Amino acid sequence: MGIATLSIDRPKTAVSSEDRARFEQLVNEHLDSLYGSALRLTRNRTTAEDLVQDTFLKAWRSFHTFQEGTNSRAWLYKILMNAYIDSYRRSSRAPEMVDHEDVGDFYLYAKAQESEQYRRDGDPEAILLSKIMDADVKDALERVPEPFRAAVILADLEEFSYKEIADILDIPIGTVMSRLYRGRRHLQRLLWDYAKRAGYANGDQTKLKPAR
Amino acid sequence: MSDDDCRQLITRIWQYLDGEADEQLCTDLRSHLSKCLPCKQHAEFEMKLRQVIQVKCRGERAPEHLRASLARIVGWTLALVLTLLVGATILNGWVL
Repeated sequence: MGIATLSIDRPKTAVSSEDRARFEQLVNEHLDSLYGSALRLTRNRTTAEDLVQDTFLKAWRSFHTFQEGTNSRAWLYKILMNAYIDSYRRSSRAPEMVDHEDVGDFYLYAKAQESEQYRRDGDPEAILLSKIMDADVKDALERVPEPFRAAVILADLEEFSYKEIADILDIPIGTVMSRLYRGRRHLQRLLWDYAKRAGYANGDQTKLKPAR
Repeated sequence: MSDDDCRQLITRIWQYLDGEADEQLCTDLRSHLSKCLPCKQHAEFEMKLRQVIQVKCRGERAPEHLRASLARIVGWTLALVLTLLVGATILNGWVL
């Protein structure tokens, strides 16, 4: 009886050990960042794990179509985003596809400048940034409505180019830019709410302070 | 430069921070920021804000059970393969 006759949990299709090694490397390289993005997208650890597992399962199945030398990270993210969009289309919980709130020309920077409290306490931008450093930025990002959140995650956290994002989400570059613009405005507005809740706010709140 | 120009330019800071500004935009930005302090401060703020968002939202680590389950999917659990190979070698020795 030779070694070759022993069956070692082989996939149904013929896969070389080289393929396995390459795929293993792909998993090791991208698992953490895909999981992080999945977590921000789904806002739930179990759902994020399922999404990542589904992504790698699909990637493994179509690994033979993957061309060596092409952008493996973008390829995996495209699979992840397709699976994510499919899952929220299937699920009964409707995604927040419509941006109800008009964030207008909201700039966090302008808010910091306008805040009398910040001005009084010194450097308004530095104070605001330190407040944001203490804030739950993950939660704020997760509250940016879709489809804007996905664009912000891909650009700001994963640093994909506009062209790569357009390909991953299968949308024109102009749409990528407008989603990013809206998404970032939303995020800034949410971060301002956190900063206000953290105790520092505009002039109105200082009026409520007891006189010394 | 009017306020409108400033506003238009600062929105393009994002494009610049995204590494998507062409040569013309880079030149325009550099020239404007060198003489407009409020825009320069705003640009610096946007850059720092981006860094804070990255620091706060990155660095997740996938749980070990997910790693293990992915290993099962592709069937490349090295330890298992090695055990089987060693086992098979010993078995092979006995049979022969």
